[in-house]
Amino acid sequence: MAHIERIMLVDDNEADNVYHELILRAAGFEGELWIHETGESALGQLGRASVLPPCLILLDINMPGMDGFEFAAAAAPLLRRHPALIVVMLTSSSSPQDHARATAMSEISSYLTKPLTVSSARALIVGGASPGRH
Amino acid sequence: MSLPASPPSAVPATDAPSPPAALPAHAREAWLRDEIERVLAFAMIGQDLQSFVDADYTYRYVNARYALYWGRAREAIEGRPIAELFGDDVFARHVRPRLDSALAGNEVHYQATFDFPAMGPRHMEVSYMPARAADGRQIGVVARAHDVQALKDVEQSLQRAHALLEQRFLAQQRFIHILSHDLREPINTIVNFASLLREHHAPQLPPQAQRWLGFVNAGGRRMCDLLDDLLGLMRLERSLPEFADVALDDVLQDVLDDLQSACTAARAQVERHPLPCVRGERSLLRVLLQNLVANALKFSRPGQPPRIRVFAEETADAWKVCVEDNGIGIPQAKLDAVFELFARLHPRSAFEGNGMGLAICRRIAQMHGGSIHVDSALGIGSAFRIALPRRGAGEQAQEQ
Repeated sequence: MAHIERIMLVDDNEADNVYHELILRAAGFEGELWIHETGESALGQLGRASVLPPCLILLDINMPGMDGFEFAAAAAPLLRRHPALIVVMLTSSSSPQDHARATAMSEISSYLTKPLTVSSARALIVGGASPGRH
Repeated sequence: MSLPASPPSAVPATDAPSPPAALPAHAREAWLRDEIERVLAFAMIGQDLQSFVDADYTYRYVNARYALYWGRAREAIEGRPIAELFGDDVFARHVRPRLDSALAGNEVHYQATFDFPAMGPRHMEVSYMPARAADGRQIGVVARAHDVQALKDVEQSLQRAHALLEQRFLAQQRFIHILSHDLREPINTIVNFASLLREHHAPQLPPQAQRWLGFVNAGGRRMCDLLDDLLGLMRLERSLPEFADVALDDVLQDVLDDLQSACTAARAQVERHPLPCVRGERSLLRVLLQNLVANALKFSRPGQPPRIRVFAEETADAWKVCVEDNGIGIPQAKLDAVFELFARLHPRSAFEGNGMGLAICRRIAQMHGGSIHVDSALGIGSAFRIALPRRGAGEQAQEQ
């Protein structure tokens, strides 16, 4: 099973990004980490890249400007072309509506509620790249 | 048609119908027959249950509706004692005391639920009217019962809804209490001790630990602000504003005094024009203006000192108070969204805020019977307009 080598964090909360990096490293992640505080800038990086290596995208929902769902919708064509891009919602929203909406979107592989723990981070790193997209 | 013995005379003597005196005998008889038919039709037909009961508590007459509710033919009721239909217990406890009062000459009105054999339990509005013979003798009671079960059903469902609302309101009060007290306590602990750590031990901490401590502090403070605003908004939801005449010029002065250091720090220019006097709650209008002016200060363009213009426009039925800035502006697609609760257009690293300020502004404008609206151009500035209803001309004339 291939380990994840790249992770993109998309979250407007700087403290959360710092924390998530720490947890991912503690879980054994040694690859490249990209951090974006807005969906627009994350989408910009993905759009500009000439080659898109496999990458796990941890996506917050509640962000100013483009929110997590809008990001996933905007990234849909890209995600279809690059099956090795995996989107996982990582959000402080435990609302069933958000969960249901994420589940209904084929662009979103799974849904995690903050805080990210070392064990769930480990599961993501080891298993996140397996095709979980439905 | 056979006629019951007394009912035709069972109306107060003064109102008893009598044929015109000039009629010949055979015509008087015809007139009387017609009159009886009319009176009977009047009594028989109708939505109400009607009966005539004599002084021995015996039915002398019932209408069709009465028979229908009891599920018996009229003939199976008339001539029988009331107790037979109601049962001895109900008769003795509820019907008889009231009938006695009516037989003594009083009008009796009451409401009660009766279990009718053909209709089930129905809530009835009942009147007993004493009936006298022509000589003034008390001969019985005319009873009329109006079915108000449908009203009763509505009343009960309203009562249930009211009780539920009351319960919800209390639950909300408890929730506000939890927010304002139980939640604030642990947050304060976090903020207080994080501040102490920074003040007293920052030099001993490695840079990474200092940064983490900064996150703790900032997060705690944000939580405090959020809690304050959330509570403010919830209080808005549950209270009715107390209206008085408010001079918006004075309110703006308070706001500018409050924001003076922020204005100086931002090298802001504030251009003031005369504002009207409106009906409203001063403290709320102050929050409204304060949020708008503070936003104008906050969302300025880098290197461009804020220029804020506050002025009023008068229309036929409203004052429009306008707060205009030369800031970053709002994209057209987001113009409506900015008033939504927790709407934020920018990352926190660019602009602080919890996305509640404009939602509170909109709520306050609505509580004053007004509205709020924004026009904006990206990179040029925004203009927020609060429409507040003008006082009626009559009201103004009265005060002069």
